[in-house]
Amino acid sequence: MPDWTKSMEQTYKFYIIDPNTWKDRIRIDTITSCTITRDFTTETLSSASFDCDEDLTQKYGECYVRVYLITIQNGVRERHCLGTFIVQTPSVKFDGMHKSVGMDAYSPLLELKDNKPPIGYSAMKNINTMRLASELVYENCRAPVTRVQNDANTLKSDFVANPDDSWLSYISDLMANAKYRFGLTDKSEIIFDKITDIKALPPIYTFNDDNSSLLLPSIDDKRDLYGIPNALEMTYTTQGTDGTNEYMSVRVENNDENSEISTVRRGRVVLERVTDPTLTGSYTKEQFKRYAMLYLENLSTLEHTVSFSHGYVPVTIGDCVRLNYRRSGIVDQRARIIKQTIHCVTGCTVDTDATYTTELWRAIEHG
Amino acid sequence: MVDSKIISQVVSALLNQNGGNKTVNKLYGTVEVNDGHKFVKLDGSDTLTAIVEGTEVMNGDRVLVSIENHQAVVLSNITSPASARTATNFMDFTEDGLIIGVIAGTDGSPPQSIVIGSLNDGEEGVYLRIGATVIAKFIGDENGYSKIEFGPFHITDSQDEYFAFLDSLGLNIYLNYRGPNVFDAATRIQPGYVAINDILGNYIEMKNGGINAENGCNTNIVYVSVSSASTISVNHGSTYSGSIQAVVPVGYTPCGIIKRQILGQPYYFTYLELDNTGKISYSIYNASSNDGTGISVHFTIACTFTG
Repeated sequence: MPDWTKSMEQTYKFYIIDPNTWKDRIRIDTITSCTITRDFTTETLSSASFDCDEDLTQKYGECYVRVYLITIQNGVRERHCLGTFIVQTPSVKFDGMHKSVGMDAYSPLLELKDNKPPIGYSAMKNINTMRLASELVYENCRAPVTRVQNDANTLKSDFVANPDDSWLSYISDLMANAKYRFGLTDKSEIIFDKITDIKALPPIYTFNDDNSSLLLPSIDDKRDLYGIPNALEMTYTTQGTDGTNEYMSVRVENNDENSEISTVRRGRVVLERVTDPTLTGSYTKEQFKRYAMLYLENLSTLEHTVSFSHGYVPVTIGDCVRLNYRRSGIVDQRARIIKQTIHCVTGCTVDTDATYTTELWRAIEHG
Repeated sequence: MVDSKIISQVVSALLNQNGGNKTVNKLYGTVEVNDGHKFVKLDGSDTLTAIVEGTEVMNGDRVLVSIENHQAVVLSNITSPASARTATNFMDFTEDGLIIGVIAGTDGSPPQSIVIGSLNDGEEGVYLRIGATVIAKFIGDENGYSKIEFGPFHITDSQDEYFAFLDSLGLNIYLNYRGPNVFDAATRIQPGYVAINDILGNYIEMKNGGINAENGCNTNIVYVSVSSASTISVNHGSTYSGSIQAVVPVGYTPCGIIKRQILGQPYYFTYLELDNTGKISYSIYNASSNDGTGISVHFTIACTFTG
């Protein structure tokens, strides 16, 4: 691993890979530029766009392209994979002299998105959630899958595929029951990430604005008070498997003088209404009220989105990093990376969006 | 001047927003029971879908299913006609009344429904029918009198049949052995009166005042009655035959076995008496009436046992 803060030589290499073995097959030297976007909020997690002198889909059919960053530092040559992408959407431009082909490409999760479960597919109660999810991904996608074998979570109720579900959305929702989500390795192999609170994650990299910083000078910190409620109405109708119906309704309010968003400090009510809380089973009135309080407390967090640019370091979306940007007032702030745009050009700059939250209200004592 | 390309992009974006995301989450399917659990096979699918019963369903029913939040809820049962029910055990209203069940036919005979209906032949009440046969009637009238009728029941290997009713007078069991609609009381249990009558006409009655027994062959009637004077009397028809008297033994008051022999007019009584001294007396009376008055002749033969 090179020292990313020191000078080095950087080049890029592109390969078409064999989707069955996931190994490099043919080297491509006609790609002129490449941008890779990793985004937590999109279903397929990452995508890339290539500019190329030839139409790869015409020549090789639908194919996977792998991107390597080659670094040479102190005579040591190293290869860092930035991702593997299935080329989908070519657009050809011709200016009378020169032909340029633009191609959009997606992560292998696209294969799961392209296919749908059978109508009414259902996973039965008490089945091991992650074993099933691993198996479904393995069956419906060619990319290598790292299976989760030792998670004990089982389904609490039958889990039926919605009519508009793709395998990707169905498995994502299924895994959420066991608090997992999709992840991708640097080679775009499919893995399953345990969903953890950012407070529980150690920062894996610190961005400093000291002398040997990778940070580019501009930084953007957004926070949005709009839509943060201070009152919540929640209604819950249970539908038991035996056909019983139960109905509960509760209203909770944040009227804490110390909270800057409370009804008292703001002087007005900002109401949030939830009619379909994701609860299963039956609850007492007290438990339900406590759930509503926690729900409102969760909504009472202010999310900051920090946008900054830096030279390439091997961090990816979902990772927790420490931000030390003293000149802009951000000191020792832990943040989670939610979006990265990697420009495969000289210097390999990365535009990063990271978020951190501040709590504006604590509803109850957390024991 | 706006570029036409931008306009077309805006239009397609708006179209996508309004019509592009149309989602269907209500589907039709057929209920299938597998291993004791109910599933739905949605139209166009080969797999069984686990369901939550929002309404009661049975195997083979056509249903409308809503799939939301990864839960399939049966919204309504659209089976028509609800054939899966009438053939098994579901209630159904017919012109005859309410069908509450079906008895499966044996040996290829058609199944018979069990029906509760209202009587309409002049009686006010309810009947219970199996097939076309009324097995019970529950009858009430405006005065508050009620009556329950059972039957007719056929006696095995016989044309004879019997039926029973319970009314304000008691329980009666009637027997028909002489032809249609000719019924004889077989058994009656009524306040102050119990009778057992058999198919040959023999009967025993227990009523206030004594026990009567009649032999159907020779129409001899034997009465056994208990009088207030601690006496068991036996009559043959209307003729007094004799009695056994139990009296508190004081002095020479007769006690023990008394036999009266009535020889005709005038009345002769023969007594065999055993008194409390151990004396046996044999007496012959000749009286002008049968109640023991007007004695004209009196013989006594006494044997005394001593030492």
